[in-house]
Amino acid sequence: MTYAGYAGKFLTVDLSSGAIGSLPLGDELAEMYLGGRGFVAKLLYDMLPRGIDPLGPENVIVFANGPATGTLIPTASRIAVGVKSPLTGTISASYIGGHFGPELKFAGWDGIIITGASDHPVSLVIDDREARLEDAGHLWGKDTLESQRLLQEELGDDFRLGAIGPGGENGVLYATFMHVQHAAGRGGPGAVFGSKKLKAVAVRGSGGIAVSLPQAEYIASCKELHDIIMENPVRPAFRWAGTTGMLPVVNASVGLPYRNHQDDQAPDVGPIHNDEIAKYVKRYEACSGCNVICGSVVEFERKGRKYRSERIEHESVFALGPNCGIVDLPAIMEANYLCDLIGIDTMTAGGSISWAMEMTQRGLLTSADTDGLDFSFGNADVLREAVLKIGNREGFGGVLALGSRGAAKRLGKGAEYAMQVKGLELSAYAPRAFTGMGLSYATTARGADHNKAFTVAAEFLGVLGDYDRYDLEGKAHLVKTMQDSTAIIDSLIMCMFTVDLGISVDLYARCASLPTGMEITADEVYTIGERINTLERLFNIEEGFTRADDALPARFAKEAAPSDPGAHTLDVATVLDEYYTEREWDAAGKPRPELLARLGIA
Amino acid sequence: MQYIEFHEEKCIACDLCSGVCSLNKLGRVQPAGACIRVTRDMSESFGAMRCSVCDMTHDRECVESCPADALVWDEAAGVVRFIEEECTHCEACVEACPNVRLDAVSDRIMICDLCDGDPLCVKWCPEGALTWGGAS
Repeated sequence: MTYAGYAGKFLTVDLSSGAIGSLPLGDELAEMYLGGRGFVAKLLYDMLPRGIDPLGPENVIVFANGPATGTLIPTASRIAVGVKSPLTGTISASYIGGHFGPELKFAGWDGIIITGASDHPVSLVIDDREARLEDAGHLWGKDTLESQRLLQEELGDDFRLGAIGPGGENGVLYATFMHVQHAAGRGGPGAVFGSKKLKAVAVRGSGGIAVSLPQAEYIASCKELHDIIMENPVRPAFRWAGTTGMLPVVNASVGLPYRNHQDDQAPDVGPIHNDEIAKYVKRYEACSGCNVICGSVVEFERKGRKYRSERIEHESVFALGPNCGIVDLPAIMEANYLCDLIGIDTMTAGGSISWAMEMTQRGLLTSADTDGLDFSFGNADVLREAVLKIGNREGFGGVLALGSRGAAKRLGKGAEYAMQVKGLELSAYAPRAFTGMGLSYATTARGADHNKAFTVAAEFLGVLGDYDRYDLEGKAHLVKTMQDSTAIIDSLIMCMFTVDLGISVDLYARCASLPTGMEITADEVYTIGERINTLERLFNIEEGFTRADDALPARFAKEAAPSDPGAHTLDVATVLDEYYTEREWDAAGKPRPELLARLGIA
Repeated sequence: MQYIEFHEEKCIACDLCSGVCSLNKLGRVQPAGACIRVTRDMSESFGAMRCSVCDMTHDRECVESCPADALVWDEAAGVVRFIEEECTHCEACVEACPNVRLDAVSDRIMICDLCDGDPLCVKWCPEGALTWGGAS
């Protein structure tokens, strides 16, 4: 490895044989795919046979750091966890903040490649350059936080840990891998850990990461980047209310999905606002290397049960709250905490519950189908029971453990009420109200993810342009370029929030070149982003995905949101050709040979 | 006497202090080798943060423990200096004081010298959890 910033090696672990080794990171992989999400795309594309069962031993788990991880570049602490998703069947990378990624790099590793499956529960323990598998029979069945606590006691305070809970062990298709309460969640990587009987990963790193410049110069350059964030007027809002500060604002603008996306505005979000959430805060928390500080520890109580937890995030509030017709904040926070304990994705959990609620509303499900639970919209009490049943795959929980698309398929009804793309439930921005988000949900490789082109920045927040939020004009170009620039953020890996805090594409290029010494321009950033998105597309096409899968639930083209005075609908099919043209894909959505040649993918 | 003050309730566990310290002193980002180390009490959920850095009280147990002349009290600057050429790598100083650290990569003793009066950790702390304490 010629470049600084990288550790230069992947740890390889074959759970079937117990063999542990290493794989050098070559210059070409770094130059073409940068890190993080790019490494996940390239490694999974090359390693996975087509058509495998995501929960079979052939699936591969890739942990991947980026070149900026642990190098003082602001927010560069996230690590990608990639698998073929059991929920969607697509390629999928989820990201964990906290301290796990930098610790892994201090231990000397750019990532971990985990193959095969163990026949008994194991933990992977990485102590600098040494790694070993330990029996984890005593942890199996324990929740994510108890598992981490026990392992921490055994190994010592200076290890950074992550574990799955019952959700992953029981094969809930959207199970998470949790580092403290940071989830690698969407798409269900935890279920792949469970299928491999990999209960936990622990790492301690005492080594260092070299950077490309003499220290005084490097420190001054990084400080400039930190100061841009520090001085941004939006920063205090993140710190004060975390991500949920946006929710009442989006709702007031008629852009918050309500009652399983039947409407785009809740009549009243009640206590879901900054001042109320701030009352629960006990201390502020940051990920490694971060000065945004969107995290905090909260204490709350519900029905005599007391909790101490990481503060809830915007998407989790939405999915377990207003989209289920619920604004009871302690009930939503309790359900969120239980999802973390059990190890399931709050967003697909909420999306599955809201599906069951619309099914109930329409008389397609009764309490006889749901083990007596009342899935009426607005019933806050059902959240706790539903989450516990999903984690244990008990009764109707076993149906909801398949996600909304899988649940509808299992029951043979209600597919039109499953608010998902490619099996992944939609996020907290109503596609009819932010049409760029709609197109992004429809075309993103892993399904309806809000974080792969957060066009709300350009359609609502006035960052990155000033687009009409309803009009589709220019959105194909906007979505394509944001998908490409986001792929770089996911590969460095920095936090998405930096987009809203003054870090432009030029500066992301700088964040790639500063630690590594790689010469990289803003244009090249876009090219690497294009390459990653195109390779992810190829993966999906070879798995049988077609143009027909780039579609939103039919509801949005047929019905306007009742609360929207403009009665807007959205049919993304009308701009799909334009989007494919922007991407240099053919009418079937396949990347053209000329594009593959230009990007060096063959 | 000046020293670095730690305000536990303000610490957000971002590790920027140990990151920038290690880069400045060692030329690589390596929190485990930094002069300052911030850790968490892991025995409870989001437990208290702890900071380990020379408190400049100057009982100078590190200096007294050194059988060579590798740790020297610099009275003018009010800090203990590490003289690498004199070090015999006996690690007696690390035993003597929890605020003295060994960089495992270079085998060098790490002790805070207040960055010649302008400590980077204080400058980089985004929450004011580290401040300048004492009078000059």
